[in-house]
Amino acid sequence: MVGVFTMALPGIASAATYAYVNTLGEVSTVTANTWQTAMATAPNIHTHSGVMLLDTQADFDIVGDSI
Amino acid sequence: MIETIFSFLSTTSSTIGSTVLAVMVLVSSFFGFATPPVIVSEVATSSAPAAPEIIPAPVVTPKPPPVVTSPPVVVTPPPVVVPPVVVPPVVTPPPTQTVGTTTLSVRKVPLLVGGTVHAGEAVPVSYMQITNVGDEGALVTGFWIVQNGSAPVASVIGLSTVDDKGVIRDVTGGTEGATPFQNGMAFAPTNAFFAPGQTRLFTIKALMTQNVSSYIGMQLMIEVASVKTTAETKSQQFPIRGTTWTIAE
Repeated sequence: MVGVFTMALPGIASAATYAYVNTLGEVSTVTANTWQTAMATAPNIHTHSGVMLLDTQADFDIVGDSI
Repeated sequence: MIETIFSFLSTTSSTIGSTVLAVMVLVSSFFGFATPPVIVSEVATSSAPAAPEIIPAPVVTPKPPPVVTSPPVVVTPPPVVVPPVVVPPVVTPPPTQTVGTTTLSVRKVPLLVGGTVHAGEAVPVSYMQITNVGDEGALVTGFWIVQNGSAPVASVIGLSTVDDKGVIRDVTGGTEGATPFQNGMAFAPTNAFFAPGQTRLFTIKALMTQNVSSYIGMQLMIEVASVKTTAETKSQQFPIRGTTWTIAE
């Protein structure tokens, strides 16, 4: 049953939180299935920003910081 | 006989008295008392005309000049110029920054993508997250960096560090002609205190020269070689690679 649900909604199953730098120079987050999607859908992403998968608490600590 | 004696004595005393009186008058006149006292007789005769009754004139008491009551003069005191009170800035003592023996965890934050940098621009070259994983405070004075790209170090005239609040911590160089790199290395100062357990994000920025014509197409690839701190450091890897920037006009 779980497997069927996952196959039906693969996006939800693998969604993850990514950090990026917005145009204000702040670290923001976006939820996406892949890093490519995160890059493409992150609102106001800075020209020179990449994305980083947030995994540990240390990763989440930088969210909201200026950079 | 007796009558003769009495007559003689009377004549003699009268003569003596007259003489003495004359002498006294002379002496008195000499000392200013020549006028003998005049004895005025107050005997009034009915035949004398009555003196007119003298009615004393009423005593006119001079009136004091009327007191003119002038309106009260309101004396406006000169404005008191209160010198501005210069309140010395309240210097908030820094929190207890006891530096001890501790360990800092340093890692790269892979959120920076390079690109093209132009003359006079300041670009981030490295994002780093530093966490004090020990039980005592630590002071990070700065970062030692190297330039491993193809561009000469003279293309960079300044280095700065920015903390996680967007505040520029410190700057080295920054004016045209400055050469922060010496012998291939440069020091980016930051002077930041880390309390036990504290995590902070730092950005190192490089300021390009205005004269980039001879560096066009060359690359800037700055790496963090080490962290200058009072604490022991552990990192995923040193040097921490920065991003790559290509110099353009």
